This record gives sequence, C-alpha cells and structure tokens, in this order.
Amino acid sequence: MKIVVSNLSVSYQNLLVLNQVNFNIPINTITAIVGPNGAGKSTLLKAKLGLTNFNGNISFFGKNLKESRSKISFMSQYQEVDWNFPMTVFDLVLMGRAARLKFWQSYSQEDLEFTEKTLKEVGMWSKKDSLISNLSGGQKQKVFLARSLVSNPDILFLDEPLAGIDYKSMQDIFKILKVQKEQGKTIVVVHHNIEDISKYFDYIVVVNKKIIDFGPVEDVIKRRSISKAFNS
Amino acid sequence: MLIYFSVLLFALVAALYGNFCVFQKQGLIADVLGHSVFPAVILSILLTNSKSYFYMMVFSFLFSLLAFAILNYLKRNPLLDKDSIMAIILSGFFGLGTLLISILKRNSSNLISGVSDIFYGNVSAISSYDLFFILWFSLISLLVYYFLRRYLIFSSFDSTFFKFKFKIHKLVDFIFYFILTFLVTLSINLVGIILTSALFIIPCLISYKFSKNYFQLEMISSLAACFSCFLGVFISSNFNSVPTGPLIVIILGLFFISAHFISIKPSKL
Repeated sequence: MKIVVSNLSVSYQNLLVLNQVNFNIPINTITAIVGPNGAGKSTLLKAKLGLTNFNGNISFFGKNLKESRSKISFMSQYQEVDWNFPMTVFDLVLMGRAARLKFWQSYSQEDLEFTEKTLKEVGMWSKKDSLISNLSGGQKQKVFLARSLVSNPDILFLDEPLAGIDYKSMQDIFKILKVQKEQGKTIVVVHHNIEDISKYFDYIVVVNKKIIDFGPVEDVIKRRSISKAFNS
Repeated sequence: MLIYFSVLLFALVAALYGNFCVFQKQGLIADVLGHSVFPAVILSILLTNSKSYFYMMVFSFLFSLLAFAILNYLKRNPLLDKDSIMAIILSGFFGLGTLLISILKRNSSNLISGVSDIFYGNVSAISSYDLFFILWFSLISLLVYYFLRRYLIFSSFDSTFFKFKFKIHKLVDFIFYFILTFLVTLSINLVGIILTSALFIIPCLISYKFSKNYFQLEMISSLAACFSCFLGVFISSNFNSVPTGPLIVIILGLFFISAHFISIKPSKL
C-alpha cells in the first residue's frame, strides 16, 4: 500500500520544473519532501493534488486522485492565505468539513462536535472565537493544521507547515503529526529545514527538478543525497 | 416607494458581492466592468438611434463580458500584474467610449442630451419598468448569494484549498462574475459609470474596521450601502439638478473617513 508517483513531469511556459519523477511513499509514515529553493517541492505536492497540470501517473493506495479526493487533506502554504480575512478560528476549522456538504446543506451537529474535538487536539480551543488575524505565526499554523485534520483524512499533504514559527510551536506540531501517524494516517510534508530531519521523519524524498534520492531517512542521510541536492 | 425599495435592495446586494471583490483582491473589477459599459451605452444609442434602457442593458452586458474575457486572457501573460491588466482594459474601453461619443455628437446631436446621466447617475431617469427589473434581479442575486456565500468565503480566504476540495470551483467563479457583471450594468443609472466601483468597494472598507467575523462584515457593509443610497436618492429626487452617483459616493466617503477615525482595529485592507 503506497502512494506511487511515476514518470511525473511538470512544466510552466515551456520551462521544465520537474522531469520524470519516480518514487513511492509507504502507508502510515511521515515523509519529508526536501530540496533547495526552486527545486519544485511545492510543485510536486500540487501535482499530486491535481492543482497543476502534469504528465505521468499518481496513485493513492491503488486508486486515482478522483477516487481518493475525499480521503486526502491539504494544508496550503502560510503565505498563500489572506490572514486579514474577518474569520474566527472556529469558522476556519469548520471549513474543513464543508466539502462533505451539498450546496444547500448546513453544518450538522456532528460537524460542530468534530471541529470542537479537533481544536482541543491541537490545543487551540481557548482561541475558538478569536479573529485569525490576531493569532501568532505558530497558532495560525496549528489552526490551519486543525482544518486539514477535521475532515478525518487518511492522507495529509502539508506545504511548509513549519515556516516562520518558533521552536515550541514546531515541537507541538510534530507531536500532533505523530499522534495522527499512530492513528494510521500517511503524512507528506514539504520541509525546508534539513538540520532536524532525522528526528521527525520516517522517509525522505530529495528533489531538485528531478528525484535525487528517496527512501528511509537513515539510508538517505548515509548516502549524503541531501547535500548533493543542495550543492547541485 | 418602489424606487426606494429597489434601490435599497440593489445597494444591499452590491455591498454583499462587493465584499468579495475586495477580499479576492479584485477591487478594481467593478471599475473595469463599469468603464466597459461606457462605449456599450454610446454604441447602443448610435446603432438603435434611441436611448432605450433595454438595449443599453443588452450592449452593456455584452461589453462587460468582453472586458472580463480580455481580463482573463491577459492574466495568462506572466509579465503583466493585475493592476496593469486592469489599467489597460479600463483606459482602452474609456478611449473607445470617448471616440464613440464624438461620433454620436456629429451624427445624432439630438440624442446627446442626458448622456451625462450615464456618467454620474440620475435616479429620476429610471422608469418603473427598469425599477422592477432592478428589483427582481436584486432578489434573484440575493437568493443565489445565500447558496454561494460559503464557497465565496472559502475561495477568498484560501483559493488553493477551495480548488482542491470543491469540484464546483469554476462554476462558483462563473456565477459570481456573471452576477457582478449584471449588477454593474444595472448600477449605470443609479451611480453612473465613473463612480460604480465605489458602491461595491467602500461599504466593505467601512465595515472591515468594525467587524469581528464575516457575518458582522456583511451586516455593516449592507447598512452603509443602503443608508448612503437612501440619502443619495432622497436628496437627488428632491433636488433634481443634483446627480445621484456623486451624492452616494460622497456620503460613503464621509462614512469611510469617520470609520477610519473611530475604528476598533488597525486598517489592513
């Protein structure tokens, strides 16, 4: 049971961003996608989610994206979002439940209870009525993570969830991700900090326009593939 | 009574949809659509040899769609940012309108009177038939808003998440711009081409300074738009020489300045 990416290529305006990428991610792991700036990490994540045009194949535990969409959740990059939007923490997290609803349906009691439970899990229940613009960087990322968790997905894709946050918040977020992994979820994280990588991740995909290496974290570190990617 | 009811309902709908123009960082979109209406109105007078409100509406709507299509086409060019694209369309359509107006002056000078109403609005020039049209379209737009609201909030806040989670994202965008185009077209006789964007944008800017959630933002922006339109129409219909559009915009502007000084949070928009 794996997420399988085969022969994946992405280009923007005749510029090849990712070239013939092949790798797979085992179920129930926390995997980091690492690489230098402009290596195509976020593009790879977006291709997996069908958010950018690509050539090649991607399957999620034997199913295609269309069949798996309801079981996948996604956390956008911090900067891609309008944090000045007048919205409370509770409403933001509740948003994660909306994809299940038909356009004429309102949120159910179960949706509200699930939102409360998830906010408590990430330690943000006390801030439920706060405006999102009043949160700190770490709190914003936790609330954002809660939105991805509230739909109870099997697969979580997180685009730089640790960007611009303090050490304590980073530890909190990894604790939450470990609990999610123990519950059977598969988590894929675009990550920029390579210093602490062996501490938190099971698998690594090293990318720089193409796949440099992938596999269990210890093996990739032994092969010195990360430094190769950053120096190439 | 009908005039006040139609105008207030229209103002309410314009504010609700205008809020999303602001949060989708498309503050100038109403201005672009408004300016695209200018040559449309003059062309409709030239071609039909009449100042029929119906034909003006049809031409305006088609030109708004054209402007919107050009906007989306130019967006594909990575060298052009949003502001530059809007500036190109805005000035292009205004230039075309100016050219057409000079042709109108030469060929049909008897039809030129009253054209200034298109620029600055004149509520007394709206017939009861037009008012009913505004009323019904505003009601339909309000009903659509009820169903669209949730999706528009999601797309304004986090468009990547919205595109991934909701298969209907293209449909939602299409309906939003379709209604916006129609609303801008309907606003011609009320606020005029030049000032139309103010009615869509300023209520949101006022409301943002006092709102703690999106529902409050909707309430305050609607109130600001309705009150300004009520006052504007009242003064304009009692003092016939005063155009409606500038009055509404001045009242909204005064509200905005007052809101700036007594707001409960710093301006981030």
